[in-house]
Amino acid sequence: MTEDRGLTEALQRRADELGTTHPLSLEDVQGRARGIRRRRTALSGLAAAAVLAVAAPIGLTIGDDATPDRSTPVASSGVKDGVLTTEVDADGGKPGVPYLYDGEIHLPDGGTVQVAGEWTSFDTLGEGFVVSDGSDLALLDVEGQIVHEVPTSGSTFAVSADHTVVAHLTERGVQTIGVTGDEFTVPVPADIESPQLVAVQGTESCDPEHEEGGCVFFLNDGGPTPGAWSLTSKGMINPLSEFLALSDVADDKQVAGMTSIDELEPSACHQVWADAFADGPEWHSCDHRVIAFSPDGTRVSAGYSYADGFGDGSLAILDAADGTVLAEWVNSEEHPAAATNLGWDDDGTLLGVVNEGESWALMRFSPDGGLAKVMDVEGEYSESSPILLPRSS
Amino acid sequence: MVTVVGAAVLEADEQTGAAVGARDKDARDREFSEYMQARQPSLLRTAYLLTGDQHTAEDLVQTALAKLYLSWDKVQRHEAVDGYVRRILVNEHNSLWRRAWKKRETTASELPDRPADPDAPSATHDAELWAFVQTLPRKQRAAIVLRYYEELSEAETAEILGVSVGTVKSQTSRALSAMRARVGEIAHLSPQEER
Repeated sequence: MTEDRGLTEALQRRADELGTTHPLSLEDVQGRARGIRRRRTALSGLAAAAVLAVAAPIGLTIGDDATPDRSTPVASSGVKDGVLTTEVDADGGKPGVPYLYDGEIHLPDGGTVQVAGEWTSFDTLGEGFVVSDGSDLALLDVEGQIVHEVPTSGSTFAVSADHTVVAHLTERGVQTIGVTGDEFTVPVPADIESPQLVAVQGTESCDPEHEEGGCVFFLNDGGPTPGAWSLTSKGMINPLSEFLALSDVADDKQVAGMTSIDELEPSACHQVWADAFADGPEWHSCDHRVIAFSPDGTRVSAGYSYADGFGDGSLAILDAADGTVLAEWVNSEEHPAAATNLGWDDDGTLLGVVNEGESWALMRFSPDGGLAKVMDVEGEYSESSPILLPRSS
Repeated sequence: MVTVVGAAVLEADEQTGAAVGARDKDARDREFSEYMQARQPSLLRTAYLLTGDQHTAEDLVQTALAKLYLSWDKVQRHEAVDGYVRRILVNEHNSLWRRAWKKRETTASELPDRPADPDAPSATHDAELWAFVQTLPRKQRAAIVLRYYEELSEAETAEILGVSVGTVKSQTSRALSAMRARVGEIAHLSPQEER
């Protein structure tokens, strides 16, 4: 018996304990297939998984784009494994960014602002706030009163890094509202059939005639021919042809997005570029789905590439420069947790709303692998995140 | 009249098409059933080694076969059914960890437990090795199962796991090193030579 045969035969003896039974019938498999088909349909409606859904119609086949790109540096594997759970005692302290919870915006200084209405997206804008429910976009003053409200057709909005401009989609194009009061709309060219707004770069006003005017918008096309585009205030578009869909664009020009997909699994590969218009990517990963850059652009949050269903059961913080996994938290049968809403705090740690069984909590994830609880969430929430972190955080 | 005749022809075509479609589906299901019949025990054994649990293995195989069923025509054309379904098993196993909080669909029937014979000469060795394999990170365990149970080459294992051959080497090497450290009886194990 050779040495490796010993291991092989030990595994075979263990596996042979199952015998040769056939517990599954065709009907069992067909029933499960119907459930998967329903889940995939539902998946296409989840904003968190939109990057996968947009590529599904393009009919990628096995062995084509599904093959991981080996031409660029591969992000190195995890170095620090943790458990994704709400069951920790460590005190995560107070968030350094505001968050919307139970009808109130909770400020870093401990103060709260009452907000009327049910909103699904939230961020700060100037001295006030901007919220959206997917039908209306509202600007709120420091006391939470609506000062401006417009219809919106996009599922969400984007805020510039300096929080002076908000952009969202309307039937007429990308509408921008600056803290100066300037409103400006850029028509979306017909090349982008089903636009989804990812990011806006600019300050105070996107009107090209304004002294600070001129913005760049980054959009995904969720139509039959998925792709990513940049669009200027003057209506100039550029295809970001390497990407099927962008995940995030950092203020320092770093871009992350999905570049290939395996439509059968589904899973995907992502790339990070130092600049959207650079010659090539800095690194790629087929293990992690890149989500968002930290405010200083040095780190990036990521989930597991196999995105199917609600929330992320695996959460990681990667080095944005080379994709090195700085820390990773994975759920388990003992801790069936999923992170549903993420945002970077101003100290470089990651905040996440985590669901585990019937409980929800706001957790703090540190690049050194630390996990601490910011707060437990009271009440029962079955699906959507009970806490909204700022869109741009 | 032309319209009526045209409609009749169209209706006849549709009926013919529907009949052909039904026949196609029947043939497709028959082919798939044959594949299931032939490969189910083998898939269950692989899934059992991946999951370490009989019922989870059945659930895993049910999902893998369901995904295969949805892609049957396309996968068949590529003539790589076994590789494809192994890949689903591995990926889906990872996803089970992710989605463990979700209410599981249950399989239609259950297998009886068949514990190893404790008096068998290799029982202690096997039990110790098995206990160790279950502690491996899931990617390492998948690499071990594919390399040493399925006896795939490093290249074939890399293809299924969607990683480089170097990663397979490092995963198996790491697992075997840990195994040597923790299981005295198999301290002499070494990685297979690349086939």
